[in-house]
Amino acid sequence: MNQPDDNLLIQRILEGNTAAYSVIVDKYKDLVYSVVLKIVKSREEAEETAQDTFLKAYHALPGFKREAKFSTWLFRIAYNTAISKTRRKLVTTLAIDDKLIDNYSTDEIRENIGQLDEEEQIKVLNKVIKLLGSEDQLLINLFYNSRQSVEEIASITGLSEANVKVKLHRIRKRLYVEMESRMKSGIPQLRN
Amino acid sequence: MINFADMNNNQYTEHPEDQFLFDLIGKMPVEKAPEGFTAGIMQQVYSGYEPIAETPEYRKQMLWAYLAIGVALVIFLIMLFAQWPFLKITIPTDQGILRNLLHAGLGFFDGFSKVLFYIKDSSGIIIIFLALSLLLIFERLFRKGFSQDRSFLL
Repeated sequence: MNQPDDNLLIQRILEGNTAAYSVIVDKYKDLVYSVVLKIVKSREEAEETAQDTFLKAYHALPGFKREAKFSTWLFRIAYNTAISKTRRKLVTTLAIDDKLIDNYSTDEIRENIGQLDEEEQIKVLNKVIKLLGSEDQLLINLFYNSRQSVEEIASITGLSEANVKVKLHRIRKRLYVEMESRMKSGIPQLRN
Repeated sequence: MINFADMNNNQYTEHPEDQFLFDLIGKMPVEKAPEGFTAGIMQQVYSGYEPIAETPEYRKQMLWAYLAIGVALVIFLIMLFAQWPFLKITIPTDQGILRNLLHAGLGFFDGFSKVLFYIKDSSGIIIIFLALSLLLIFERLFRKGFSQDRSFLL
C-alpha cells in the first residue's frame, strides 16, 4: 500500500488534521521502539521512551524545518530522549585483532550462509549481533534497519561522520568474523 | 511498516559488503511496538494542545489580540488615574425623560468613579490583583474563537 509522503502528512497535521499523526506513528512506531530498546534495554522503559518521543515530536512539529528527513529528526528525538532517560554511556564493542579482522573472505561467508535456510540465517545473525555493544547495535539498527545514511546517523547520535564510518566499518568486519567463526564451528550448534 | 523496497539501492550501500548485510538483516524481524501503541499516543495527543504552525494568518490574529490587550490596559489605566472632569458638569434637572436618563447615566459614572477612588485609596495589592484579573478576562475573551487552543497568559 502506498503511504503518503511524510511532508504531506506533516502539512495536514499543521493544518489541524490531528488524525494524520496516527499514520506517522503507525509508520515509525516499530523503528523508534527498536532504536530506543537498544539504549534503554527494558521493554517497559522502551515503550515509555517511544511514547515520549512521539509526543515530543508532535509538539515540536511546527518547528520541524524539513532540512533533514522527518525520520532522521524523529530518530534524533528518540535518541536524545532515551539517552537522557538512562543517563549512561552506550557500550562500544571491544576491539578485536586487526589481523584477524582482515583475514576473512566475504564470498566464502556469503556462500556458507546461503546454504542455511532463512530461519537459521536469522539465528546466526541474531547471535552475532548480540555480541556487539549497545552503541554498535544501535548503529546497525539505524544504518541497516532504519536506512539512515552515515551523515544522518552522525546528526542523530552527535558522532562525527568520520567516526560513524569507522565504527560501521569495524562493526561490518566484526559481523563477518563472528559469522565465519560460527559457520566453522558447525551448523548444528547454531540450532542451540 | 515502511516499505523499504524502493530505498534498497546503492544510495545506502556505501560499502560493497553492505548489500549482503542489508539483505540478511532485512530478513530479521524488527522489534514490534506493543499493541495499542498508536491508540495510546493519539489519546494523549487529543488531550493536549494542537501543534498549529504560526502561519501569517495566525500571526495577524495574535497581533490583533496583543493590540486588544494593549488597549484594555490603557483603558484600565485611564479609568484608574483619570480625573473625570466631565462628571463635575451640572445638568439642568427639569427636562423630562431625557433629563432622567442622563441623570441616571451620570449617576452610574459618579458611582463608578467613587468605586475607583475607593480602590485607589485601598492597598496596592488589590490594585495589582484587579489589574491582572481584568487583563486575564480580556485575554480570554479575545482568544476565544481562535483556531488554536492557546493562551499567552496561561
